[in-house]
Amino acid sequence: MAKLDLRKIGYSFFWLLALLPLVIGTGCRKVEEEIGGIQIVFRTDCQWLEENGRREMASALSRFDKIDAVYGHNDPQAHGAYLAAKAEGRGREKTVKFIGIDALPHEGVMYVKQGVLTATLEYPTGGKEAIDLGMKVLKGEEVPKWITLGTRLFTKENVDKGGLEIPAKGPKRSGLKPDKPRPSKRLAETKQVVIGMSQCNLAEPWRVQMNEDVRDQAKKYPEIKLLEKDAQNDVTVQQSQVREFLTQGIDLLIVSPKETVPMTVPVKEVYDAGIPVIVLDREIQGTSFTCFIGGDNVLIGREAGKYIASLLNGKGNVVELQGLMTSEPGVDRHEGFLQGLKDYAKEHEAEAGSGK
Amino acid sequence: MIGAIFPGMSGENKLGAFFTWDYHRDMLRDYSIHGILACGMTIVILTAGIDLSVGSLLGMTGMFFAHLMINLQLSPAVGIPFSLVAGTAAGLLNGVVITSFRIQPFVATLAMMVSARGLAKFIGGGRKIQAGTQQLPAIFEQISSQVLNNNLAIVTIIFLASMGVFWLILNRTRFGRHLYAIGGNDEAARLSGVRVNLVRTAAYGIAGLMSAVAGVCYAARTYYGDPEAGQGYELTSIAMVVIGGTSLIGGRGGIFLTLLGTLIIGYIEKILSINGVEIAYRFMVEGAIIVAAVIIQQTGRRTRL
Amino acid sequence: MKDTPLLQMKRISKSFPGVQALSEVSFELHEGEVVGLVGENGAGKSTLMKILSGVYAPDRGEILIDGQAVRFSSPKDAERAGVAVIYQELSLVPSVSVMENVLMGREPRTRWKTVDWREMARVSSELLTLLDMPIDVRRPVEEFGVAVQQMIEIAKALSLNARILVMDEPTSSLSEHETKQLFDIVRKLKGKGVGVVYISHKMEEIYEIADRITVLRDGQHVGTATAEELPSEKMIQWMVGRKIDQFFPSRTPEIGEELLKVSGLTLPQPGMSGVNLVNNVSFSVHSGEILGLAGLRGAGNSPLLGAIFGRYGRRPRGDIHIRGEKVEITSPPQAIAHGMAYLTNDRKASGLVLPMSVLHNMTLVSLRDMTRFGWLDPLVEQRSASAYRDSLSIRTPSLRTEVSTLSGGNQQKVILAKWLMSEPSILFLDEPTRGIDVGAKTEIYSLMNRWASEGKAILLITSELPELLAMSDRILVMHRGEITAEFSHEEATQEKVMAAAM
Repeated sequence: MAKLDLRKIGYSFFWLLALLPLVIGTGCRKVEEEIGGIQIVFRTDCQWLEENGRREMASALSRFDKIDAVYGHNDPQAHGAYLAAKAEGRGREKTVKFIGIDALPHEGVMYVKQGVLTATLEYPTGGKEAIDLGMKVLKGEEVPKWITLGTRLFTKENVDKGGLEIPAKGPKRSGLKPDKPRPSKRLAETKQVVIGMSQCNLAEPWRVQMNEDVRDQAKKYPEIKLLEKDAQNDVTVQQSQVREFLTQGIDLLIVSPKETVPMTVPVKEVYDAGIPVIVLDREIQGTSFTCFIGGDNVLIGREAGKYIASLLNGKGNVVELQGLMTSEPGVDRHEGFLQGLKDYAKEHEAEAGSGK
Repeated sequence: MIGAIFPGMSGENKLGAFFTWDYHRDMLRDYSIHGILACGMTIVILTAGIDLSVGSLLGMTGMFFAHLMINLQLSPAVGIPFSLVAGTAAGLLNGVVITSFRIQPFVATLAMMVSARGLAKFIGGGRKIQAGTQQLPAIFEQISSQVLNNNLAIVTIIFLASMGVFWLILNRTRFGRHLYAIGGNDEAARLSGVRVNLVRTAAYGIAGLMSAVAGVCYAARTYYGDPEAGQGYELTSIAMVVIGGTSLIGGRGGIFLTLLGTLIIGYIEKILSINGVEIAYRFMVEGAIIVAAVIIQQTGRRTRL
Repeated sequence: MKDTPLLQMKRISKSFPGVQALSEVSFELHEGEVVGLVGENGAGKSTLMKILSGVYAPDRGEILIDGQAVRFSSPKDAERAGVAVIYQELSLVPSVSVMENVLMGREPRTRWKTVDWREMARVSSELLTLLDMPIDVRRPVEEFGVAVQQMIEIAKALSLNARILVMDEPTSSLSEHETKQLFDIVRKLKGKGVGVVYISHKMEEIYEIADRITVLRDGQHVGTATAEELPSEKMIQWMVGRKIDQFFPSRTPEIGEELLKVSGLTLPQPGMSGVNLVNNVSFSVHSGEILGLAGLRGAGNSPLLGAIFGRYGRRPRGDIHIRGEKVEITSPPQAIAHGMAYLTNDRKASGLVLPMSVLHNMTLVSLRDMTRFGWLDPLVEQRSASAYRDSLSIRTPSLRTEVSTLSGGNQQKVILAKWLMSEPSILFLDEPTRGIDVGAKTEIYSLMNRWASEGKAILLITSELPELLAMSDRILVMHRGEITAEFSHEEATQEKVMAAAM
């Protein structure tokens, strides 16, 4: 029975001794990084989760009296940070700027409309572009082999106008020769095409959005019949689903691969069978595809860095809530952010120099 | 003194955040939802059972609540009871499956864990249910607010009140005594006139009810219903119960120990978080401390016997 | 028969904490001989055989096989020396095929080190044909009845080239026909020079199969004689022949009204149609009476009490009347409501809730009386528990002590206190003195007398005959689920009871 055994309670908290250095050391650690006038005071891996963003932000808030901006690697983390500031009860949710990434219509863009987030940067799904490009290929037009999409910056002012377009600085991989045009016979003869869409995981909101973009854009072409398959985050399932499309007889494949290497061979099989393939978001090896469309996380991170630096006039304390740092997008969004801050600092120096 | 050694730290709290009440309030608030789940988990574990479905039921009832409140715009006087009933019903179903078909609790609740998660996704069509640009019902704000000049979260009050109620149930009712008896020796309990199946079913029903309480709190805290909410919470709440010292074999333990376990896990994570310790180290330190805490509990028991 | 015996066990002693299980027991077995090993429950037969099969190491004494001293440190050692034991509980794996069970752990291998299934089937079916059991060895064991499973066990023993075969109550779940079959095989083995130790409670069987009989009592070797020289009366005398001690307090019974009447009670054994643990039993017990239920292990007296108490749910058939009124009892709470109390014969498995305190164990049945407006009143609980602690003189450091730390006698008294608190009128006591010391035993005897004089009816089961004879006002003897005899306190003797029970 639960009896109040004081000695036992003492035992239970014995571990606090082990953490004593951390308890005393709380608030004694150095600033993580300082670029120009911007200090990144708190930085931690939140694994893309809103819950973690919220918890880590609560820690940052209780450590620092002065926080000027929060950079979340995705919108849920930034939203979590906002909720933490609100729960703190010192009204800091109104003074701190929250910036997120992804800008899904139901998430980041809505938060900006609500005034929760100061800004969010779009990580484009490429769904709309995939259908447009696919139709061009089927009609026999030549398309570039590699397309890197830009981003859009949504703020309270421009959110109703569809955000501020920021173009990409050219494709990430250049010098690839476009495929020879191969117009689809079926499209020409029957005015009908079948497009297969292989999605690796529909449990992620961003990928749900990608499918929705594809679907919405496909509705604009009456000749398209769209088939969708969800691999439920299993690469072997996706491999067999791609091969299923091949036997089903599609005219174009849109694939958003789970992983680069395992998906290369099945995609090559489809491509070698004469069916054009459009790859979204994650690359595959070699050149056995018609066109790759993807966003640029480094670009997005850099734009976020520049935007935050200009928002703070180059001076202030920033909290960075990182995505999973063992994943490529997490690393890119972090590296880009630092570059953006550096870029701003350099420009600012140059301006100050020319001002003298 | 610490401030004197490290002066001018970019607006940092001079004394160290550990020595502010906000720090402890945040920890309590963040782990209250886990703690509410752990209350229900405690009585299930006391009967030598286990409930893996609490995390999923949290997600399901949270979605249900959000659906009733945001999509259907019902009054909280309808939405809250209905959500609680939904959670309780799912818990009772667990109990009935376990007792009448003699299926191991691990398997039965695992099945419930999977299907409740599916139902959660079904309610929202795979999406979160949120207010968007329309007005959020006031109840969300009310549950996630803090009272006493912003010093105590409502969820923490709900958590501590549940602890109190559970203490009374376990120590001052026949039902509570029967839970211990079943966990300690169910055949002896049966021959002593305890209606074992009934009590066991009720234990799972209560665990379901507490999942629903936690689900409503979670939805209110995040201002939306999230079908993925509560993933992994079942393991955290089991850890809280076990670290406190309640035996997984059943029959030994108590709600007070669960409070202890909740505080232990809460403080570990909070201390590591506030220091911005890297995620990889955090997992290692947490694991080590959990093992150490359990070893300390065990040795404490051995000297007592 | 050779001059050197196949097996000699010389002056074997073994003690467990608190019990001297065997003292200076000697045992001999020759090639091609069947020795019947008999004795009351707890006489030391099982311990002796566990020493032979390497489960226990003896404290003193030696074992010789073919005149060579051997020392077994594990059952594997004994197996290698040619000792095989067939226990009452079969040790086969039910879901696995017959041949795998027979050759488990010694599967024949092919050149590629994989299991040679064909060879395995050949070897095992050869063994079973030898036992006149030509069954399909590829089918799982669970598809066959108990008798066949017994044969499979024997085949397993033969595959080990066993020369000493111990059979512990092998016929307890066999029909008469199957028993006959088993005996044929035992005789066949005998002809092959195998020595068999045959343990049984059934006298007819012993006389049918055994060449010599060895009797143990209280861990001591009483005597060994050939079957012809040992008539059954003498054997029983050897088995029970101890003085009835004076520590049973005397009592003049005052028999009152009939409290419980059972008629035609039958309890089928689960999973075995046609076999009844309790078969058409009728009796009645009166206020102020102690009714003894005698019977050897498996006679059905323990299940009888459980069946009346509702332990087996709806399984039992038959009528129960309490104070002349017909009642329906399908669960323990109903039995408790009718004023019954049931002390089971295994206090750790079904009596105590070990992790709970003495207090909580004592009040478990009668919690309803300790609630006020639905809430337990700890003060009332404490008060009534300490009253019973005093009246039963339970020695415990405090009522909050965990019950598992108490001695056996005090644990038993905690269970008694638990039942007395519910103020029962009919007490079922199954082995109330098992495993407790002499002092505590006497205390429990006095308590039983006190309750009987208070007008309660007591049904008593105990495997200690002297205790049964001294305490009971009337004795019913059970054998194979049926009542075979009834004796009054005056006419009952150990020999009569034993004869009716075997």
